Amino acid sequence: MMKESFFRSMTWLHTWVGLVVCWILFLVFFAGTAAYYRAEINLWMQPENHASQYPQTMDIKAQDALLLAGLAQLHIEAKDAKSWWLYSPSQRTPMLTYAWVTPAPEGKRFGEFKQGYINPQTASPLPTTRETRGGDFLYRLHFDLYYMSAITARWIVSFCTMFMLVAIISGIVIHKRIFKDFFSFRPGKGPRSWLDAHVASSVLALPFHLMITYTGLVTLMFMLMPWGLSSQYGEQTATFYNQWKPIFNTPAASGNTAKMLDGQNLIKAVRAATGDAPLEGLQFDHLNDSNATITVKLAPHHSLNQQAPWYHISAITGEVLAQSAVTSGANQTQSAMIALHSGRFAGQGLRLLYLLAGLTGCVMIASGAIMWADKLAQKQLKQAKRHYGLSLVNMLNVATFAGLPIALASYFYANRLLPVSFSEREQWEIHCFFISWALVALLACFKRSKATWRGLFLLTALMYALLPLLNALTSHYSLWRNLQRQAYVLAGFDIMMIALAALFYMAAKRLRSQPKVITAKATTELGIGS
Amino acid sequence: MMPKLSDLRIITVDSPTWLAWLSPTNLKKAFASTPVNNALIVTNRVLAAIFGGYLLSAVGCVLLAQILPLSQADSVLSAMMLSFSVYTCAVLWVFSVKQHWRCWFDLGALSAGCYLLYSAASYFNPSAVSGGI
Repeated sequence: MMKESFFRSMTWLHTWVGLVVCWILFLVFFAGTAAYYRAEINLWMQPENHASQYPQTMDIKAQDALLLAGLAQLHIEAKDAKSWWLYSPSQRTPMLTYAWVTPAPEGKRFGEFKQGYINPQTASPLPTTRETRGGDFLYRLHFDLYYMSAITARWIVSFCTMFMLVAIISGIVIHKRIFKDFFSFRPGKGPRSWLDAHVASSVLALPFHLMITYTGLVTLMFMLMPWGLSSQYGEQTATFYNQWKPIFNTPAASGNTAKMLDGQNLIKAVRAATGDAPLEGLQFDHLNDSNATITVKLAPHHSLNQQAPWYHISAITGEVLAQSAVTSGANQTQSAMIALHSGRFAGQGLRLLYLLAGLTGCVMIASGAIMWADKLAQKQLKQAKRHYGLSLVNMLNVATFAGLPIALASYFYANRLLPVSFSEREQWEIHCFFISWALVALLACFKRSKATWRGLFLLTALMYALLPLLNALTSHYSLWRNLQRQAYVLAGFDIMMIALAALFYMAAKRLRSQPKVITAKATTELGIGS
Repeated sequence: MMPKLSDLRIITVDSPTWLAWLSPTNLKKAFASTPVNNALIVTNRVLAAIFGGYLLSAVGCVLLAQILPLSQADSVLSAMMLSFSVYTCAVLWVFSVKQHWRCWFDLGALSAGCYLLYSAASYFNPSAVSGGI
């Protein structure tokens, strides 16, 4: 098992490290890829906001009027809150978002986070949205999983990510003819085709895979590798954080109440500091305290350096308390890594590339695991021996690779079909995601043949294909109408669903057209591809 | 195969039992390629890779945070970002050295070396814990 040569030990390492964590990694890749469209999914899952559209022209006056409308709304709805937020509308989120945290109830540390929306074209509040986590659920699922504590989940995900990094590096080491193999795809040849698919999907997006894995670890490095920090700063980590991210270092509450400037004067104070620059958002801390502070963030440019200028402005006197400075190289490197990972800077074209690269990652993981099962199945055919590891891997393959797309579609269906007044609606949308996934897993315990894959893929294709229809029936804006009024975020979602349906339909069709080379004796355990 | 009692009996003809058990032929047999031995070897390497690798990258992170010629906050950030490369290299190393028990020794020695360097560096150049920019 432990081979003599370096290359053989790396092959061993690649196979086993990859196999052990591939199902969790698939979930992480799947949810992470979907999370690149977090804002778009959020919008789609709140049909109450579909009327809102980003205006053709958005000058400073219009932006300020919107901020004022948001402030007025916060004064009505969130008088006793401790913090307020205002986020400017954008192409991806075409409404102004105002948010607040309710005062913490007795015995709890935090209050409830609430938000409302304002239509930028009319400057009037939009109807109350249904309770939904939207794309934020997928974003959290990517690293916090679900039904467990966030810290446990992050350790599990980080562990798998570290394995992934090792699998990628050892994969590069064992792959000597990396470019030659990339151009040779031999379909319809069993394990050889799966190897080709695995190699092609890995090499095609190799820079992405390496980048996403490494930067993924960097996003969690304060949890994973705090030793450099603690050895240098000991107990005084606050000193470090204030040097690193001074934007979060707002003055503490004094406890003395004071009267804040009214809306007009607040906006005036903000504009005195920022000039005509477009704003990303405002955060109000310690409302009605003598240290009440507004954190103003300017909209970042479409560049890797996501450190847009910011200001701390007193909400009592209107003077600038602090503002951003040019940050150090290490600081910018770290934030560029986070930006690369999250893709927040990406426009729609680059975002599409992120999506394709993420899907390639899913294919890489799935084809690797299926190839493993396929090779073992071939061996088993020769030895006529039943292998329980193979059954387990096949079962997990069906459950994960065919189950997750169905779970995601069910999540979208639940969003539109659960009644708006359903209690704990938000939770139940997510339960629907996991229930449908569990059903596929249950099926996979008993049926794992090629026909199962085909049936599941056809079901997936049908579910995604019908989503635009569901949208047309449960929102006032059908795909056709969205195209007509140039609401491309919503139209794009529906088109993406049709594209996904086509993809799964093609996969299902391919599975049928492949020649049957396996005798009936072993077909139960063979999964697909042979 | 693990040495059997019957094997021992053959060799104990003219030497004490414990010495005989350590005879080259027996050792060779004990470390021969069997499913049980292989599983132990793999487990050993996996443990070395996970925990030994983490130890080395943690100590490496501490060392880098001390010696990088940057401001204190920047050294800390850079050291943390680089530590995952150390971890990756350590894992590859563990699975590529020939003798499976040597990986513990290598990782331990490297970690100890890093720690000594760190101690020396912080002795000659103690940075105030609440350090400036």
